[in-house]
Amino acid sequence: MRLNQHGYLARNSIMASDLAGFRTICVKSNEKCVSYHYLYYKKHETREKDESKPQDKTLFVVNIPPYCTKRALKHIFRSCGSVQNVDIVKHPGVQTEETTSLVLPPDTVKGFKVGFVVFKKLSSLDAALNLDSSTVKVLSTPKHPVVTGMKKWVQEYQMQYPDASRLQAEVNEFMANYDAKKEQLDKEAAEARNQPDEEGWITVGSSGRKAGARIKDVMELQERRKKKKLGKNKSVQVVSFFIANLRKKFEEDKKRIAEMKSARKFRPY
Amino acid sequence: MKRKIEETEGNIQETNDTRKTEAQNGEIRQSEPTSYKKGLFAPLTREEISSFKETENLFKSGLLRMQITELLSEVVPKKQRNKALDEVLHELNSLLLSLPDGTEEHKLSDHSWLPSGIKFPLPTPAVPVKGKFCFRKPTSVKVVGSYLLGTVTKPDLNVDISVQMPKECFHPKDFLNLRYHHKRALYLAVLASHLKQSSFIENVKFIHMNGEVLRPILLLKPKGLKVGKKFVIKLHPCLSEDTFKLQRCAPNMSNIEQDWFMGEAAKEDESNDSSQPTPHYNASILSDMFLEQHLHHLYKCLQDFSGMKDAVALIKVWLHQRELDKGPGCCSGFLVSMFISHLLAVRKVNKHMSSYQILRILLQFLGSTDLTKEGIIMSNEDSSLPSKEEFHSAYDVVFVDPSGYLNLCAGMTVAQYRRLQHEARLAMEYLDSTHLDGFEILFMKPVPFVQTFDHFLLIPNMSALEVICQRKDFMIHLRDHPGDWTPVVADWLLHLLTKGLGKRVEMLCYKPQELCQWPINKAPPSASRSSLMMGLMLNAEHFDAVIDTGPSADKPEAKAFREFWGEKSELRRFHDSSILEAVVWSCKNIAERRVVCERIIKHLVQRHGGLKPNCLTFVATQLDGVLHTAGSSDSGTQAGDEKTQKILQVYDSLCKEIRALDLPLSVSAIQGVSPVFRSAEVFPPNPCFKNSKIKPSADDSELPNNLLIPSEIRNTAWCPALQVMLQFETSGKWPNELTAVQHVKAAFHIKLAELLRRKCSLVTVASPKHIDVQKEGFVFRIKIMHRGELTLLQQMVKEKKTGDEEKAKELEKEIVHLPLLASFLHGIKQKFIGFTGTVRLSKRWISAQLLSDHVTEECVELLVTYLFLSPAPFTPPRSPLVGFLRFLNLLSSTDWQKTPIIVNFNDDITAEDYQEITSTFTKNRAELPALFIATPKDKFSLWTKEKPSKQILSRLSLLARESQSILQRQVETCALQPTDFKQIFRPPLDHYDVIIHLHRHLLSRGVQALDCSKHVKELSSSSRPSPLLPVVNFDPAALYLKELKEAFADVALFFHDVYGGNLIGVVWKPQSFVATKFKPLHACHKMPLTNPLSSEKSKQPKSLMIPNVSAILTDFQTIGEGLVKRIEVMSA
Repeated sequence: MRLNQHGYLARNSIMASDLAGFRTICVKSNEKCVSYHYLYYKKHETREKDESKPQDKTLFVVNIPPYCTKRALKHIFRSCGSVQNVDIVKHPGVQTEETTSLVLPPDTVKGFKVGFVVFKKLSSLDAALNLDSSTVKVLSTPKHPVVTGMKKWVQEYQMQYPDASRLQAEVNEFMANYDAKKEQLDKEAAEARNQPDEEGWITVGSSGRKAGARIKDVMELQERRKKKKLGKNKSVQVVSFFIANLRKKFEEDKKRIAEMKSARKFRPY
Repeated sequence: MKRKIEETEGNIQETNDTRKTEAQNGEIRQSEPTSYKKGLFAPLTREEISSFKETENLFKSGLLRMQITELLSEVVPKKQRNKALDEVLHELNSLLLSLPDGTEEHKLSDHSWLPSGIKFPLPTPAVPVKGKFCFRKPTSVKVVGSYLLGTVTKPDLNVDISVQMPKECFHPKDFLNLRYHHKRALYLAVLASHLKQSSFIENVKFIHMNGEVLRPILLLKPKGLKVGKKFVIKLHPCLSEDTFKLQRCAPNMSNIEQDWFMGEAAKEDESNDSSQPTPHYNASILSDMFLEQHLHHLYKCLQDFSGMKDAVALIKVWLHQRELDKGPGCCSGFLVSMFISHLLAVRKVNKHMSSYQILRILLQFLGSTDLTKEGIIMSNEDSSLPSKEEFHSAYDVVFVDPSGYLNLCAGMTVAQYRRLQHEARLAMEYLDSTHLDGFEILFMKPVPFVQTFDHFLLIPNMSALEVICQRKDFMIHLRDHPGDWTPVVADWLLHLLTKGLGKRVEMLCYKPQELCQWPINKAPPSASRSSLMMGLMLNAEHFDAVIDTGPSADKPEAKAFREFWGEKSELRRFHDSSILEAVVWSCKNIAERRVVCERIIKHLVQRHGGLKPNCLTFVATQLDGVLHTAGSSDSGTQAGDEKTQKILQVYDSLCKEIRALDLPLSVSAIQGVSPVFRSAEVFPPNPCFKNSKIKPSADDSELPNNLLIPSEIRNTAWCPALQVMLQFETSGKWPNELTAVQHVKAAFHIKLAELLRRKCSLVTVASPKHIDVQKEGFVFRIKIMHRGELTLLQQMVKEKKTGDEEKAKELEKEIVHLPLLASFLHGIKQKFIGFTGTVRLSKRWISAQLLSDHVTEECVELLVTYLFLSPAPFTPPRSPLVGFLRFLNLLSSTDWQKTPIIVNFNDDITAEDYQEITSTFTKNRAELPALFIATPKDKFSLWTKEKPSKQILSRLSLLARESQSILQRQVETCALQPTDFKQIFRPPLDHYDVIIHLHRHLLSRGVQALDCSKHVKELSSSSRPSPLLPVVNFDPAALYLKELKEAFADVALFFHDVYGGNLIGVVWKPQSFVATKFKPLHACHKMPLTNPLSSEKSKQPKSLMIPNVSAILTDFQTIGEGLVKRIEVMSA
C-alpha cells in the first residue's frame, strides 16, 4: 500500500491545535486487531441550546466506526467518569427519535458516524479532554462483544419478522389513538366551520366529498396564461417564421455535420 | 453537374412539429420583435429556393445530403495523388508491350520450361491437357475497371489492367477441355516471371478472380511508398471478342468431354452423357472475352452521369459493411454498375438523378425482382441468342450482359442472392423510417457475419466432405467446375439443408471467404483444406417444431419424402384424422427443442452424404453452460426454462387463491415484478422448503414460530423472495395520514397472512412491510401498494423540503414505475423468443465482470430490449448467443456521450417524440445520466440515474470490446480447436488494489458460481413440504457488500459478482487520497499525517489528513467477521 508507511509515523505526535481543537484517541474493535481508528473529540459547542446535551458536560465525537455501538462508546469514556447518555447520529444536527415501534422501526445509523457523550459530572469532561492520545481502547468487551459479520446479519434477519400478535396489538393501539384523534379533529373542524376567523374570513368547503382538490400553483397558472396569449397571435407572419426555421435547421445540420466530421464519424471502416 | 453542399445555402425540411415552431416563434419575437426582414427572416433568394427545391427532390433531407457528401469524400480517393501511380502504369505498359515472344512451343502438360521461381497457377488435372503453347507478347494493355470509371473506393484501392492475349496463342477449339485455361495460366506465369524482375514492382502474387480457381490473375504491388501503400494493380489476361465462337460458349453447350474428364474410368462407365452442358465453365471463358466490351458499355453509361459514380461508391460501401462484396460469387462493384446500367436502359433511372435516388431505386430493384425465377437479359431480343429458359436451367441467378451470352451472376448462388435481397429490403425500411438514422445504419455500421445469423454450422475441414464427390449424380456438376470440387459440395449441402430445414429457417448462407492469394513460387493452395461456415437465420415460429409433416401416405410424393428422411419417417395419425408421413424429433425439454435444427442437419448429412456427424460443429448453445447451476441434479438438461414455467404456474394459482379470499377490500390487481416473472432471471430458483436447521427457540416470544433462521457457520441455500405487488380497489376509507396508512397496511398484511394460512394452508409470515408466502417451495413476497401513500409522502417532502425525498422516490419507483416496466418487459418476452436467453447471458456477463453492483438489472433489461426493438442494421436476434454478441457490440461501439438509447415499447414514441428526446438530450447532456435510456413513460432515464457512472460505463465498454472480439473469434474457430466458452466470464483481477476473499462455504449463492466444481453441501435437498418458512433473501456476500459501501463509499469502489462470486475487488478512489486539512465532518476513517519536512521549516505544522488504510483494511475484516477468508493487498 502506498500510504501504509505513514500510518505509523503519525502516532503520538499530534498537537491538539492541528486538528481544529479536536483531541484524538485510538480505538479498535477487538484485542486481536493490529490497526486502529482515531476518534476525534472535543467539547460540544453549539449556538442552539439542547437540554439533553448540556455544553459543559458533553463531548462531541467524530469518526466513530460503523460497528461501534452506544454501549461501546460509553465504555470507552467510562474511565473519565460515569456517563449519563450517549447519542450516535450520522451527522450532527440530525434528531433521532427513540421508538420501539415494530411497524415503523427507527432507521439505523449506517457507516461512519458522529456521537455525543454526556457525562454526569463536569469534571469528567476535563478528564476526557486530558486523555493520553496514545491510549488504544478496545470496543469489544467480553460482556458486551461488538457483533459484526455473520452474527450480525443473522440477528438482522430475525429482526425483519416481528411476532404477528405483537404487531397486531401495536396496530390496534395506534389505530384506536388515530381514530380518537381524528374524531376530535373532525369535531373541532365542524365547530370551526362557518365561524369567522380573526380577520373575519369564513372558511367554506374545506371538508366534505371534494375536500382533497388540489390547489393549483399560482406560478403554473400564470405560465399557462402566458402561453395561451402567445398562441393567439400565431397566424401573423407564419411564412416568414417558417423560412427562418428552415434556415435555422440548415445551420444546425451543418453544425452537426462539422462536429461529426471532426469526430471522424464518416470513416465507414 | 457539380453538387457541392457548400454552395447550397438552405434546404427544405418537412416540419410537422408545428408546436415547436410556435414556441420558437414566440421566443424569437420576444427578443427581436422587428428583425423579420433581416437574417433568418429575410425573404428567400432565388438561389436558396432552387437549392431547397433540389434537395427536396433529390435527397430525403438536407442532413442526409450533407452526410452523403462527407462519406463520399472519405471513401473516394483524392485525385491529385495519382501522379506516381500513373508513372508506374506507364512503365508497366511499355514493359508488357515490349516483351519478347517465346522461342519454342511447349506441350501444355509440360511445365518444366517455366523459369525457376514460378509455379504453374492451376491445380493439376487428373488427365493431362492436350495442346501446345508458345508465348506471344500482348496485343494491347489497357487500364480498365473502377479506376478508369472513377468508381474506385476505399478500402480496396486497385487498378485493373487488361492484358489482351494475342489470338495466335490459341487454337479455335481451345475452349474445349481446359485447354484455354491452361494456356491462360501459362501466359500469366510468363508475365509473372518478367514482372518479378522489373524495378518498379515490389511484389507479384497470384489471386483468384472472384474466387474462380480456373481464373487466376496477377496482383502487383508497386514499389515506392506513395503508391504502393494504398494501390495495388491487378493484371487480368483477356481475349479479343472473336477468339472463340460465341455459340460454342452458350450456357447449353458442353465443353468438357466426359471421356477426357474421366480418363480411363469413362470407358467403364456405360452412362455416357457427354451432352450435359457446362455453363459455369463456359462463363469463365466468356468473361475474359467480354472484359473490354463491358468496360465500353459502362463508360458510355457513366458519361454525363455523376450521380451514378457516387451511387456506385455508396453501394460499394453498403456492400462492404455487409461483407457482400467478398468471396466467390459476390456482388462486386462491377456487378453494381451493370445493374445500374440496366436500370438506365429500362429508364428506371435517368442521368439527372442523384446518388441517393439511384441508391433507392437499385435497392428497390434488388428487393422486388426475383432473378432466380425471372432473370434479366440486357441484350435486344434475338432468336439466335440463347433463351432465358436456357439460362435459368443452367444458373441459379440470371442477369445476362448486353452480348446475350454471358450471365454476369454465373457464380452467385441462390443463398447469396437471397441474402442480398434481404439486406436490400432492410435497407429500404431504414431509409423510409421516420425516426431511424438510415445513413448511419446503411453505411457506417459494420454487419459482421457472426452477428447477423442465429446459429452456425462449421465444417472445420472441407476434405472431410470429399467422399461425397464419388456419388454418380455429382459427375455433371464436377465437370462444370473442373479443378475445384468444393463449390459443388457446398452447393449440395446448402440445397440439402434448405430442403430439410424448410420453414425452420428464414435464410441459410455461407460466410464469404477471403480470396486466396499466393506467392508466384508456390503452387495454388488447395481449397479442400479450407473451412466453411454456414449461418442459419431462424424462423421464430417454426424453428423449434418437434414434428415435420409430409404428404399423406397414399400420395405419390410420400415415397420421395420417405426417401429423403429415411428411417426417421413414419406414418402418423393427426388430430384432424389425417394420416401423414411425418418425422418426429422427440425432445425432453425446451433447451433440446432449440437445437432440433442441429439434429436434422446431422441426420441428413449422414443419410445423404454418408458423413460422420462429428465432421460438423454446430454453434448454438455453447454459452448455455454459464447459466447452469452446479450440483443440482438437473443441470445441463433443465436450463431454467422449465423452472420459470413452474414458478409461473405456482404464481398463477397463488393469484387465484388470493382473489378468492374474503378481504375487506377486493383485489383489483396482482402483478409479479421480480425479473423471474418476465423470464429475465439469470438463475430461476429451485423449490426450497428447508435451508437451515435452526428454528427459533420455543421461549422466544419475539419471533413468529414458523420461521427458519440462517446459521452463521453453515451454508444457507439461496431462496429468493419473488416480489408481487397487490393493489386493492380504490376506497375512501384509507386514512389521510402517512403513519396511519402504514399501520393499516401492516394490519392488511397480518390479515392476509392469516387468511392464506387458514384457508389455503400455505406457510405465511407477515411483517410490517410485506407478507412472505411459501407455496410449493417458492417464496412470494407480497406488498400492498396504495397510491395514496405516495401522494402523502410527496406532500410531506414538499412541505418539509428535507429528509424523506429519497424514500418518496424509492416508493414511486416501486409502485409506479416498476410495475409499468415489468408489464412492458413481459410483453417483449412474449414477442421475441431470443429475449430471455439474451437477457440472462447479458446479466451473467456483467456480473461476472464484477459489475453487478454498478449496473441495475432493469438497465440491462432495457438495453437488451433496445436490441430487439431497434435491431438495425440486423433483424431481431433469435438465439441467445447472437443476441449476447450484439449486446456486447452495443456496449462497446456506442458513444454514450452522444447517443440516447430510446426504447420504443409498443411504438408509443412518435417521430416528434424522438426529436424532442434527442434535442433535450443534447441540450442537457451534462446533467443527464451517463447511460441515458428513454422509454415512452420515462423521458429522463429513471433507471440509470444512479448507476452506472461514467467511469464504470467506460470500463464496461472496454471489457465488452475485449469479450466481443474473443467471443467472435471463438465462434468462428471453435471447430478447429478446443474452446473454453467460459473464458469471457472470468474477470481480469489485475487492476484491483485489494481483493477480499470470502469463505465459499458460506456463500448462499455459491452454486451459481461459474467454476463451481464441488457440490456445495446444501440443505435444500429436502423436498418435503415443511410448515416453516425457509430463510429468504439471505446472501451474506450481498449484506457484506452493502455494509462496505455504507462505510467506505467515499474512499473506495467495490466490485462483486452477485452470482456466487467468492471475492470482492476494491479500488481506492485516487482523489480521496490527496492529503487534506482536518475537517470534523470529513474525518471519517482518516488519520493525521505529520510531515517531518514541513515541521522543520515552519513552527506551526499543519496536520494533513489521509485515509487510515491499515485501519480500513482491519475494518474490512471486522465488518465481514466470519465471512472474510483473507484480505489480499495487491502490490501497487
